[in-house]
Amino acid sequence: MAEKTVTVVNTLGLHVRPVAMLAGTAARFSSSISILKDGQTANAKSSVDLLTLAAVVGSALTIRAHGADADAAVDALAHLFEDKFGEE
Amino acid sequence: MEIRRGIGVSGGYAIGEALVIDREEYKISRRSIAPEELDAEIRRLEKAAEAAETEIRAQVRGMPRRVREVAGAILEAQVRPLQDVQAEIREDVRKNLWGAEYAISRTINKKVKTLEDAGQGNAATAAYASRIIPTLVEIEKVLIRHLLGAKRENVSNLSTPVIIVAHDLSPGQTVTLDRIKVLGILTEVGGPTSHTAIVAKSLGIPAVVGVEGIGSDISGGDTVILDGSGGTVITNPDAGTMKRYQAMERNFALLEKQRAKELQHVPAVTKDGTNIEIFANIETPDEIPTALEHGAEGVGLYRTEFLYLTHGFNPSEQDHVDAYQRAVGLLGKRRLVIRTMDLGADKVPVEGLPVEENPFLGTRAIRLCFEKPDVFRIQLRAILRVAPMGNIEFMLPMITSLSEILQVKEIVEDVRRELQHEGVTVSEKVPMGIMLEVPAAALITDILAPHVDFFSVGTNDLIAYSVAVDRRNERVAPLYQPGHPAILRLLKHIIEAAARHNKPISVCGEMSSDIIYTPLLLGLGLRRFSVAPPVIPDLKKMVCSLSLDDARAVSERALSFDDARTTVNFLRERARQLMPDTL
Repeated sequence: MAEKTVTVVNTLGLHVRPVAMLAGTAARFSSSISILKDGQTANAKSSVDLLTLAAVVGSALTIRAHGADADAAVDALAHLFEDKFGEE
Repeated sequence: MEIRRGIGVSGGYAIGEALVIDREEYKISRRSIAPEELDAEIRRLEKAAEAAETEIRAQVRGMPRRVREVAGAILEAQVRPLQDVQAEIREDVRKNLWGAEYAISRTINKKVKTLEDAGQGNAATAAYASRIIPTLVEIEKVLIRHLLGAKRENVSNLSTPVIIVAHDLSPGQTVTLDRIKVLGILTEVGGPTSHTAIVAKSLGIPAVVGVEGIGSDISGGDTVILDGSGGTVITNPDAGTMKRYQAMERNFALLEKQRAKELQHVPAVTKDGTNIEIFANIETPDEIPTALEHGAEGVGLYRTEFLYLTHGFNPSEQDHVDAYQRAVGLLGKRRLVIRTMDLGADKVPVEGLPVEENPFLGTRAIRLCFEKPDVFRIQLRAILRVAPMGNIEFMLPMITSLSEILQVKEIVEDVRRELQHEGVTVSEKVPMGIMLEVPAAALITDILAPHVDFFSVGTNDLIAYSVAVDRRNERVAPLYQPGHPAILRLLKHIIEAAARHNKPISVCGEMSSDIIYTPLLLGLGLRRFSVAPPVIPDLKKMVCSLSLDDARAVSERALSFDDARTTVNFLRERARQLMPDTL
């Protein structure tokens, strides 16, 4: 299992475009990946599921992955957050 | 099964499928599928999703390159959620054996609800939710549109009855809703005096308002029971509850019928013996039997827009004739007032007519008739042809000046000659009246009176044009005030001018269907009402409860107030004293 905590820095939060990027990236890995926020869990490979986290700017999220490529998956997703999803 | 409570504002029970109108453009049915149909249903869903995706991609391709870079990325981003949500919907179809439309509605609903709940008491999250929810709703709409294909049923033209569920209904929506197919109305906001409440009551549609959160709690296709008296709302009832309410619904309908029957032949006479005429407002001849059962003397306003809306905006002369003949067949010698087409350029997609920026001050009603004389003549021909068979009169909407009346008279004469030339029997004279609904016309009632046979006051538009308020605009809707001193003065002026010229006058707007205004209108001199059929028994009771002296005292007092609120409070209190059981 791999895990990493990230913070949403995009002004509009995890809106449609960032979740699409997240889900698209997550789908490339075989591990099962979830994103947690205040006890709520969403499947990182489902953009609609991610939307229901209502992750606004400043939200602390945990990326958690189980599986063969868990480490790489968590790193790849965390990188998207650090990169502000290419925005701003 | 879930039970909620709201404010019951229009009595009666309604049991049926929900139609959540803020989100859905089309009617969604709760359909179950047989296990052997499962694979086919999943394939149907996949095909719809593929088509939806193609549609989104095509939109992106169609954009100019510069726009594509920005907007295209946003649209592309919608493809992903569209693909992802499918997995959940498929699961719902498989597990519950639901039709795909209903499964979509439920899945999206759950998500919307989660977001709404997250937004409770947190401004940042609420703002996020309000940005994201439209995307989810859009996905739902697109998928359902592709699923239904050509079979889709538009909200304003339903083939089966539904219970309307909405955050709020604007007056505009109540006009476009197919009233005949609406079993009940359920809204999140509103109170006993809200527009929805008044309209529902006047139409006799059970309604519950002020039920928090129903917009996202109820999915299109859910079975809903609604008790418009007690304010109870039950979603997806169990069999026992269903049976109990079906029995109550039957009983209520029976009681209503009895009550109407008791009053059906009681004449509307004031305590001092003055006869008051009560006519019905109808949209289709189908409503005539109910109107007569409720004690109407005839039809004071037959809105013919329905004919246009159901015949692709272009009904033939025979379509008109059929409808009018049917009305005459049901009414016999009773009076029938046909109002000529009252559609605006905002509703009629007539070729060659430009889209107007301000349709309410644009080519509406009679103005459209002048612009499209061929369409107008078809209706006039039908009216003149059916006139000899019954007691028919007709009236013109949106008249603002004398020249318009004279112009119509010329067209009518021309049409009459044309018919006579064709050897058709035509009445010597068909009484012609006008609607007074524009302040400019109201103020020259005396000038217009010698040229018309009767007047009918359309208070809805008269008020809107006087106080400059579009009631469909929520921000200004509270400024729409029937009790405004200016409206009272206008009504007094109109009614007195018509009386001086011995021209009959009626009020056919909503004001006459709300019985708190009955004493005022009688006091101002009104002797003829045209109202929604379900209101007639109460209106009769109100008329019978007072003398003309009582009524005059009410109107004089009402005219002395400075503002609408005092007036309406006073009128409501007086009405309550006169009819304590009803109000």
